[in-house]
Amino acid sequence: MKFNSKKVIIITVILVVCVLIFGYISHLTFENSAEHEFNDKQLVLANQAALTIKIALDSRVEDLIVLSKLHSVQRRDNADCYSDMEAMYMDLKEKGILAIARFDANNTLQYSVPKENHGKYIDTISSLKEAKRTGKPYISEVINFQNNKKGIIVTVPVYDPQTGEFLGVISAIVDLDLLTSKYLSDIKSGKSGYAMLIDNNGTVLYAGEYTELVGINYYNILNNLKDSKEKEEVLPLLQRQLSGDTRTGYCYWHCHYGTNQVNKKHLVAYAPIKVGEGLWKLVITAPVEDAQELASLAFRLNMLFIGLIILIITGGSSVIIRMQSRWNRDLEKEVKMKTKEIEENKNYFESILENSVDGICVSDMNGKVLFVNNALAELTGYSKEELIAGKKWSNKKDDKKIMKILKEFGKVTNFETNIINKDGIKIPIGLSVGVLKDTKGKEICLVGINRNITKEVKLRKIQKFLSDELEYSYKKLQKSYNKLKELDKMKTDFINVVAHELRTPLSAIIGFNDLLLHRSDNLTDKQKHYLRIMKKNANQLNDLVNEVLELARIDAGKVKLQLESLDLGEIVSEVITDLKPLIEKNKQTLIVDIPNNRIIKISGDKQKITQIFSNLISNAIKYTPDKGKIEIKIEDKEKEILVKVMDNGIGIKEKDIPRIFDRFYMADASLTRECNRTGLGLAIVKENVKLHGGNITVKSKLGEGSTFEFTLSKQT
Amino acid sequence: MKSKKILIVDDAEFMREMIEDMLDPKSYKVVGHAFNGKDAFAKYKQLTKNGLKPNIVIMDLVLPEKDGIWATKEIIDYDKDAKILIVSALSAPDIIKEAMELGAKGYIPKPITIKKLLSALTDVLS
Repeated sequence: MKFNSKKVIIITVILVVCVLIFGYISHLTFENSAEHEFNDKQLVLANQAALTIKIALDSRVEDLIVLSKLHSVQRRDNADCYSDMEAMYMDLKEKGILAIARFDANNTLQYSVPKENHGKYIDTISSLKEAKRTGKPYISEVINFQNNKKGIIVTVPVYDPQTGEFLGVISAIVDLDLLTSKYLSDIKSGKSGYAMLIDNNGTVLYAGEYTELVGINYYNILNNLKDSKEKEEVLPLLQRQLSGDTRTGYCYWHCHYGTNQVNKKHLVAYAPIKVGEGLWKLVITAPVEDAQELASLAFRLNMLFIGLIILIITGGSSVIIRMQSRWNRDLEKEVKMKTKEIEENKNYFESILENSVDGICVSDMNGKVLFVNNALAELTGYSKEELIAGKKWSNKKDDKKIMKILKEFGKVTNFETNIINKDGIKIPIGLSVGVLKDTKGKEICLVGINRNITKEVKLRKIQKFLSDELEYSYKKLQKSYNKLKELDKMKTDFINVVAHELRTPLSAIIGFNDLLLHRSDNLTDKQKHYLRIMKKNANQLNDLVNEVLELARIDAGKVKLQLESLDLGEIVSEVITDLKPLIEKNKQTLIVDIPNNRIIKISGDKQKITQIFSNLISNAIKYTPDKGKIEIKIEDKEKEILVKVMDNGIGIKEKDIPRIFDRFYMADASLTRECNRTGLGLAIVKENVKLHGGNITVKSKLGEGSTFEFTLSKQT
Repeated sequence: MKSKKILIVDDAEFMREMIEDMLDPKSYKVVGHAFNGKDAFAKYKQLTKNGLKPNIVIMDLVLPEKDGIWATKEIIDYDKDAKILIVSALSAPDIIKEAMELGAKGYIPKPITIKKLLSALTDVLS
């Protein structure tokens, strides 16, 4: 909550005025009610006091009735009667009984206690008569007796309990002075108020410390009033109240003889006391000043309270004002700090805006340009002053679209548009617009960021071009790939079809030839000879088909090596076993050289490796004359195996060496037929060596022999 | 020794005739011929039901409709103990490998000779 000195002062003044008004009203109310309240209390006091006196008197009467019922008292048995009366007296002495006497029916005193003749003051004639007549206790008027004491005589009739005969009375003097001083002396009303007892004749029986009033008539006191007007007003009312049993009493003028209290205004309250046949009054009286003093004390207290409240209010206000002033000072300090901070931030952000590579424009919500940075000036070609003055550079076509996006989404992000610079050249930009709001959410200004995207646009074009090209090339490639795949499949199918279609007729020829040769018993030698020629040529044709297909598969990349761990010595041995009949027939020498007869293992395709050895050794046998020498040497190099197949045969012409591994190339055509050559054996060897990660070369000299050297990788 | 029952499967009639002639009638008895894969499987089933279950099926691979690979698979599925010897003009290792993996017990390439055939049959039977 914000405090304001003026407001605090106004509130304080209002509160003080309210408190004062409240005080004044409460004072008036209190003053009016103070006397009534005081008087009401007096009335309560008067009633209580009257009741006390009444009870005291009635008790004495009761005591005497008890005495009158005693047998001894009734029979006037001298000794007993006296002793009973004395006992009663001793008991009642403290309670205001001055003397008790027994009179007979003729009013003759029989006994009295104490023995001092108090009984002489007891005039019982009228009392006896009244008691006898009514048969009830009789209380006399107030009498003065010894030493001017005031008392009343209580007379109780005595009857014979059996006959009902009137036997006389018991009378007692009740000491009024003792009773009043006992029951009324402590009564105080206000500072100086007191109790008064007035009998039914208006005689004052008790007046507290104002003993001078005792014995005089109350009406005489009132008669002493100086102001005749007061007499006129007061007297009739007083008389009315004293005569009846009216118990209420209010404020009257009341005078005392011979004191300075004369003519002082008093507040009085009356309570009636029925004593015998008469009606006494118990009066509580006090000067009005006492009530006023109390009121004044209350007023002072009230004022003190009001003063305190005012003090608290003003004190509180001053504390609030002081707090506020301190708060204001703090606030001022804070405002200064914040202002500084804002200033710094402003400089910071201005510096950021100024140094931004993007063109920035800040405008109010009506489109008026408030700020532009150098980058924008550079981008548009206009000076900052021209731009602030309202020079248009944006693309009007897109303005509506931008405003629509802004309205819908509250911001614009990288909207691609063009601006026209000072030279009329279109420049592509990415425009971002944001709305700045204050703390209450009110829109303050628009911030537009213009990014030059010329390079991006160019790059994008290039990218698109490249992407299109790539896609085109990819499609082309895909097409080619599909075609190749098709071709590949066709090639595979072709090889399989060729294999099948060539071998099927060969199967018929070779199979039936075999059947004829082995299952026909009646063939002539000539027929057998023909059949063998046929078989030899058919087998030759079959070999050719196999080799052609083998190469076709290699070319098609269809060869998959069935790799296994192979012992080269074992393979060589198997090949030699197959060729042994031929070697023996030619009487050739064959030497196999494996160092230390070690097992030399490689990972390879058994069929292919066997084919390599078989083809090379077959060739050596074919081109080496009878009794010639063929040598096979296997060397275990670190990473590969080196194999040499050497012979001392016819050798190869130097010009033929480079083409020796070509397909269908045969060095010496004249030898072809004789040696059943196809011209594909070495080509297949070369391919198989290659498939096993190796290389094959040949060294040869015509007429001296040839050496084929090839390597095999240990791990294919 | 009881002669072994043979079912010959080949689309070329001359081949079926040649194979039958090459077999020694004392050791082998041809119980049926089939000209395609479907026919081969049907014959195998029928012969089995008739108590003439072939001891060996000599199977060509290139056959009209259902080929020899199909027939090999079906026969092995029907009778896992069936013994099939592939006799084919195809020598592509992947096709032969496939047939062997399906459960064929041996392979000899065409053209065949009596010696090669009988040797292969002996191998398969052992």
